[in-house]
Amino acid sequence: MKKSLLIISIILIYATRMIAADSVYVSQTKESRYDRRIHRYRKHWAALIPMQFVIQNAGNMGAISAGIGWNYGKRKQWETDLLFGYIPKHQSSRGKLTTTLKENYIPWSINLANIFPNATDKITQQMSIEPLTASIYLNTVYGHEFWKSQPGRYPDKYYEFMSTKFRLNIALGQRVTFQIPKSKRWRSKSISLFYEISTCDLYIRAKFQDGSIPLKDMLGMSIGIKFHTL
Amino acid sequence: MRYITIFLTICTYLSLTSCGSWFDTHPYDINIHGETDINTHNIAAIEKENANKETFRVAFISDTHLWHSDTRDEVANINNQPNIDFVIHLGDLTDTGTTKEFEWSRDILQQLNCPYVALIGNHDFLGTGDQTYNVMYGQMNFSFIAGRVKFICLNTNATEYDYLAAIPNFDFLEEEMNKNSELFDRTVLIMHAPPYSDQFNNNVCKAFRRYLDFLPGLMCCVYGHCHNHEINEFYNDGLLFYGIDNAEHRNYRIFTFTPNGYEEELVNY
Repeated sequence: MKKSLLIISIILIYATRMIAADSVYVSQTKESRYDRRIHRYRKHWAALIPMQFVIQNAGNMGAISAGIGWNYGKRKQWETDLLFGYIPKHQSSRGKLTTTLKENYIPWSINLANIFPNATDKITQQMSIEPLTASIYLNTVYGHEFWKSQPGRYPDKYYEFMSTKFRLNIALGQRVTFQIPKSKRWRSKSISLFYEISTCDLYIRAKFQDGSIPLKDMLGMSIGIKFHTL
Repeated sequence: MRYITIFLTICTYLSLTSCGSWFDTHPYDINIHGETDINTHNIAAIEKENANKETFRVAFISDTHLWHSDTRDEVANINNQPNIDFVIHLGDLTDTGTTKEFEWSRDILQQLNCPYVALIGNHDFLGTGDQTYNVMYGQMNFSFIAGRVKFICLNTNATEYDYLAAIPNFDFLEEEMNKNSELFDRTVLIMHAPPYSDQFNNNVCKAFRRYLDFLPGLMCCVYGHCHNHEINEFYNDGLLFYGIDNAEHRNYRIFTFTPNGYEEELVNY
């Protein structure tokens, strides 16, 4: 009798320990306000992880620019790029750095597989074309010779029409996007090749002042590559 | 992937270096296509062609800014004038100092049938404009001699330097009083901004006038900047300052220098 009581009590102690070790405390199952804040905090900062990487030449923002970007919108038709460019020395005293904030709108993306449903080749399966990209971008150039607005040494409204530091540019272009098959992905899920025809505020202003300025002198070409990571 | 990146970077680099005019680096990049150091070349031509002339004719134009159509008409009008020996542009070749604007105005001025020199105007300083001027035209203070008359071209845009630089440069004026004195008897002083204008260092207006007394046989001064064709006597002492109008107002001046003096006419076109 005594023996069986001892065994039962030992089993009970074990069982209790096991249950206790395996049970979840109520306080842990309920998300605390702290947890919710941290989740939000992580989610918001996660939205800032760059979704794309861009390299492009020219476009009035340096000989070559590189940067990061984000896309958003229902069809990811909006993109914001932050680019850093380098202007070579050319005939001046030194090279210069620029920063550009660029907003792109891509109204259409046409998947070739939808147009040619019977095609079986890889290119058609993986390629899409974006027949129009419209961009507006603000470029700033670093250097003592450039000012944001006219310095105090000038009389009022002397060069009121301009800033030598900031340039507003507009561009129209086109691009093609290749989906990378999952088995061959390295970091990017797709790659876009694009070109743009752009001009800046000073050239548009010049064209308004004198219509005889040829369009080819106002417009500049730019080509680039964009890696879509997320 | 990595190969694609490398390949495209190389492509971009090549496209960038080979056909530069297709790809715009920056409005203020000073990537000049075409002729540079123009004043040096043209001064050599002017001095050679006019060394032994007793009478010669000079057209003065100014402030062409972005009025390209008017400037083209101006150039055509000068080309139709008989016996113009050279042209002096008094500054403001551009409106915002971009490299392309410098190329545009240069390409129009190169249609002239005679050599020309250009001074720097205040608008040509914007951004990297002053450096572009140095490469495309040369020094901001310069002089040359034609038919025993010395033309002294002086940078007077003091405001562009916040009055911190030696503008107008009195040392340069002093040098010019004596330099090559055996080759000239008379002087004409040329500047973009005249005394008492918003660009001149007006603290030295009177001191400046005193220096001019030491220029051998100073005949007159010629200036631009003000966009009018007034003839001023800023110091009320007989020294005439001829204003050259901007291209938009469609007039300019021709000076005929003779052994006894000069004649001046205003040409409307």
